[in-house]
Amino acid sequence: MSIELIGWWLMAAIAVVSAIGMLSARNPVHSVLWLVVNFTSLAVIYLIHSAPVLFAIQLIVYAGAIMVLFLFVVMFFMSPQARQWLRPALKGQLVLGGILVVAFLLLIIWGVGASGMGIVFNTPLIEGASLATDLTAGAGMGDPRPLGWWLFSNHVLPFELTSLLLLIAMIGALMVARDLKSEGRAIVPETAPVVSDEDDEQEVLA
Amino acid sequence: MPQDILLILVRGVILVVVCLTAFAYLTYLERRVLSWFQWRVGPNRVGPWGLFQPIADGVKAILKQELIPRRADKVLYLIAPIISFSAAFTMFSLIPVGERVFLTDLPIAVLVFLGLSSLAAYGVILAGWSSQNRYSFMGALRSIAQVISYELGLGLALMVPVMIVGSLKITDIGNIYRAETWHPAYLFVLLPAGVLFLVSAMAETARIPFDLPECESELVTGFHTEYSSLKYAMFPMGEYMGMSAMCAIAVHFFLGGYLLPAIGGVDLTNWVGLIVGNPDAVWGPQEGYWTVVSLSALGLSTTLTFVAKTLFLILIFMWIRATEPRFRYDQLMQFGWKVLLPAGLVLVFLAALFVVLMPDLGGGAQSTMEVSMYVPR
Repeated sequence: MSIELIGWWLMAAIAVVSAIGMLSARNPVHSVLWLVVNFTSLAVIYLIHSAPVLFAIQLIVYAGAIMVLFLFVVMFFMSPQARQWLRPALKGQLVLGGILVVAFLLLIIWGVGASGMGIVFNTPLIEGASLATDLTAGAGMGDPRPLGWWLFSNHVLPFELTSLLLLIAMIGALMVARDLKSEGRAIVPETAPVVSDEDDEQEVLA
Repeated sequence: MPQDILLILVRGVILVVVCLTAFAYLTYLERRVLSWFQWRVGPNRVGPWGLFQPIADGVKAILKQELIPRRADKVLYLIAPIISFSAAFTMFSLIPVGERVFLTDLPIAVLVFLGLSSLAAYGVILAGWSSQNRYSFMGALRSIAQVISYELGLGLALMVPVMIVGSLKITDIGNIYRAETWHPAYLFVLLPAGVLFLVSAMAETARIPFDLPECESELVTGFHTEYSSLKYAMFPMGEYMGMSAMCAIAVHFFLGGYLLPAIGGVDLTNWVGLIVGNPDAVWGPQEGYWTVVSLSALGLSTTLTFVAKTLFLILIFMWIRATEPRFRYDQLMQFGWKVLLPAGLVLVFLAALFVVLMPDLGGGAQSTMEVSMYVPR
């Protein structure tokens, strides 16, 4: 068993465990953090699959930027004491979800089997490739230049459209968040944070 | 393979030991420099010139009682200092410190560095949130907003030399400062990018003009208010290591890396290599006395140069800490989004223009030529 394969199994296990943790965590902030762990383990899997650039992008964009934003929003509303157990909003949601999960798993297993990629489980991932040579040579799939080249030549229209889409979403969010009445004044939050003052005082007395 | 792993482990242990010692004496240095700036004495009682002060501080930190707030989120409360500490150390492991003296020299080191610097923010954020303290929480919120805003300037500033050199490898970028490849025209884009980087790095590591997550005059001590003993000590460790890593990266990108200065067109680095032996033969087949000597002389002189340059930048950080007052929060945001970000975008644009207009300079042209291999057919 090569180091790559051991690493892959380790990361796969971490990814699955963290995904389950994300779903079952009782505090939403914990869910966000489980997701960060999940993204990080995915990033390492990319690295094992000889794609260091994807690894770095996954770290910077997903585990770094996006999840920090998630955390920012969730932290505002959740105290460390907050507990929310899986509460289905729809009737029979859990059952339906379970059926879908099983169906999806079967689909994946069938797809992997049919495509002949099942080989992955008992041979090195890519013939002749190893993490060490990829990292030191920096060539092949690890090279960021082909990515940039394709992004800015063949796929420049979708690329620019995506940025336009993000810009529109940002302007929309600004318009929603902007309170025209309080324009030019400091915005004072009217609602108290989640933890009430009484609890704190009691703790001091206790 | 086992020898390789052993070698890597030994280098890693050396790195950790050196970094921890460096951290201890950086705190001493900072206190002495600050007291010098502020016309007072500073720590001078423990040992000669107060040199044992960091050791005394360390022992004191270890012996302090550990307090964990009863209503804190215990797991995250314990993990948070570990995150900020280990992220900063990992950042350091990416950086070559001398000619052929490095732990790793990844071809995507710049990207990994940026990723780690954003992961380091989790430590501060989680510390503030999990302590269940209003002041800590305010510190965490400020930290998130600050990191999000200043990461942009940081990344854009780093992209300027990356674009010019056409590589994400740190040694490649440092090599642009060699006498053979250097051209004064680089200064027009690299100098402003360097200033932008230093300012953003100062904000990213929450040093004093930007230390709003701590801000002792408003938030007690901000995100680490509830921390005590060694867990508290890990935050300054992370902070100092982060600052040193930022300075080290700045040295590689904007101050000529570990290269000795070139005087009158003669690159002293090459000179050292020539005096004690051909540097290209260092890792070559011949294993002899001269190899060792040239390796040690070259490695040692470049490492010392590198450390000196990094210390110089760290001293500038301390100087600024001693003289500048803290930003107000709205000023911080305004400065990040309305000054640094546009400046960074303009600089990246200029760097792109530079690469296009002067294809003879640096590796930018070379990389476009290489890239034509990937032209879709």
